[in-house]
Amino acid sequence: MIKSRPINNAKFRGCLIVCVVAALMCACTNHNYFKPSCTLPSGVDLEAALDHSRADLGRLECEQMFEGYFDRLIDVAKRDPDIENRRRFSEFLVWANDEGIIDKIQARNYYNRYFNTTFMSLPDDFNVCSSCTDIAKSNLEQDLQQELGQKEEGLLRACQDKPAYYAAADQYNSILLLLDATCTACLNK
Amino acid sequence: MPESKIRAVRRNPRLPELWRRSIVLSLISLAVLPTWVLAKTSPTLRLFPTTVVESIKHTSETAKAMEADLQSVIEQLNQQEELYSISKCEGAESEPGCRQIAEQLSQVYLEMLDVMESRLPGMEDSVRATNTSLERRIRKELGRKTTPRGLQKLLAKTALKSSEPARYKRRSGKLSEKFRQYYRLVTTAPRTGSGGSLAAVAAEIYLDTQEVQELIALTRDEISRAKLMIDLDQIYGIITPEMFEMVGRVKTILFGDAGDLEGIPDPPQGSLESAYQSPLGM
Repeated sequence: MIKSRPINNAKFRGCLIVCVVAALMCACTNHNYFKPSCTLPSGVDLEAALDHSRADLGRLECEQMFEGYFDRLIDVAKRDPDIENRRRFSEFLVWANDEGIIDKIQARNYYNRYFNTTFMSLPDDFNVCSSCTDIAKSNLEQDLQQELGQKEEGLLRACQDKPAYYAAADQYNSILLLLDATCTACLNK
Repeated sequence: MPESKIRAVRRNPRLPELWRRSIVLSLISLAVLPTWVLAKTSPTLRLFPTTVVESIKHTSETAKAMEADLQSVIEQLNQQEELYSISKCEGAESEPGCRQIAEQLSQVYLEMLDVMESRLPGMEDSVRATNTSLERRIRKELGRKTTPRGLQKLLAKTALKSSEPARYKRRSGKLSEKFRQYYRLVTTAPRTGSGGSLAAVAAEIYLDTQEVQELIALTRDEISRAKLMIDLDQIYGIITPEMFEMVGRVKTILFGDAGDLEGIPDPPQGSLESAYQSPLGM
């Protein structure tokens, strides 16, 4: 009895190793576990790309890639332009907010930067005079220009909403004029 | 009073009292309604008080008087300049014909300097007054009371022309005409409640007066210098590039820059009101 114990132990160890290897092999064949789950959308169909993004972003591991998904969706929308894309993006952002992927401020920011004439780069906390230092004004102008580019992508390219884009461009020009005059007046104390 | 009404009054002795009350109520509502409507539509910005409006009007009148004085002199200068150029006098100043043209040109130039010298101080005062009062208003109303986002909200209330220049650039056109148009705009705009476009007009007038002031200061310096040179009898009868520059500068002040303004294309026909309204929209 005493002599057979090491043999039993060896058998047991062997079985254990076989079981572990088998379990690992089973795990390897499980598609859901090893499939790259966060794949950015592509193609020329925005509805399909939105469905794909919703499915991916619904998983915890993909949430942090929201910005990448959004950028890619804009690219898809530019290849599938439609006035209804504005509504589609709005619904997508509301869904992302409801799911807790982004907060309401982020959702508003994304939507308005791309699909509305309102310039989110314009601060709403302090008066205009406080944005008139050389650096602050220069940064603000850069941000505004960048946002006009985003509106061009969203309103003009993705939605083909020319009146809205031109209204935004008009307002951009007028804002620069008002900023120039106001900052000159603020600095000429 | 008609028969039917007299009968009605006889039937109900309280009717005249009711009529009186209803008339009083109607009068009160008539008196209150326009105030309420105005309060709803008039701009909250006070960018153009009477002093600013009068100042703009005065600048327009001063500019007009100066233009009238200078118009014939500048035309004469233009003609002589053209004659000088056509006669190929550059490099051949010693030729008797060229010398004669040059002398005439210098005389007219001197005349222009005299007119400018007498008119510029008044013009400068008027432009400065407009600039100073507008500066104070813009600083208070737009600089201190408004946030950058607030500026856009102001603009969003009123549809502006779609071909605004990308940055402020002095518009071409006569100075007097431009100020006349400014005057007309600021005296009629408040009735339409266009606070946003009023702010843009204020900004444009302010930057315009700023630039005109700088040009006037430069021109006055130049006049002093040119007069001194003439006093020293150094350039009388000699055409210098500075003379042409001076004429150009005077033209810029009075008639604005030449050249087209670039703008974004006009939007196609269509209404923004029908566009999709998102719950995320601001």
